[in-house]
Amino acid sequence: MAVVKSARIRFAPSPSPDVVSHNLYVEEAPNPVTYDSTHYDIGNDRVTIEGVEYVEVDLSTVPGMLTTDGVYNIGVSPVDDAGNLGSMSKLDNVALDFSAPDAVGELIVIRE
Amino acid sequence: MFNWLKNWFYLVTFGAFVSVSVFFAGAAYAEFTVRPYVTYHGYTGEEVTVEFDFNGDAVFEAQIVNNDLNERINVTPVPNSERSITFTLPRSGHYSVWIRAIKNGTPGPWARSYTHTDAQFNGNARGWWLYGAVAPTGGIEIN
Repeated sequence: MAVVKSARIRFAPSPSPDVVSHNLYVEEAPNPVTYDSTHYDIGNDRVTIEGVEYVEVDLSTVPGMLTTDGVYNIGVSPVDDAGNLGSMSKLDNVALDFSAPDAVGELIVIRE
Repeated sequence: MFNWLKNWFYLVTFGAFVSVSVFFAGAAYAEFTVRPYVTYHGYTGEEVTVEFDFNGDAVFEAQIVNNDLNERINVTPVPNSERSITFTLPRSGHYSVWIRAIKNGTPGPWARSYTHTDAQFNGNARGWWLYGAVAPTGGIEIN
């Protein structure tokens, strides 16, 4: 079975104290990413790297995440416990490659 | 005793709180022509400083009121030497600021930021609200 390479995104968390999750918005480039774009709940898992806290997520583990390779404009918005969304942080022209290459052909032993 | 109380309440009710103004770091404001209020827009987690005037000696009690949830949040009692409070909004929503003087254990009436006679904007009597929104994250890195 092929193993899909992970694609991890990371960002500094919102300073707002009532954030409970984040939405990841994805739009195929060159279309601009907006709040109307397809979005996914990427949670609020934190990591600390060299003393700095980040939110980090492996996109290949996000339920329902798109699996089509391509170049995308992406955005992240924090979500509070009332469902309010913060302003979107954006990153354009992100190459996402989720598909494993096709399997090699039949193996043949060559005896010399 | 009666005359003293009457005189003191006169000071509190009729102008001891000259103005309640606000500094909201990085805020933009929107002035609506239909209702004469000002709404300061900023992010939750940002510091907000409210200044006030008072003629006389007293300690002060301050509350931040989330008007969407009808939730009151007490701010640390303000000593006589201070004429400002600094706080952060704990969650998204519309807020007003209430401040009152307490003299010898007796509280005066609340000055409320949405009351035109209690608050000012740009030096003019004008009620105001605070609106706290969710702050954005930092920039996205991918690897």
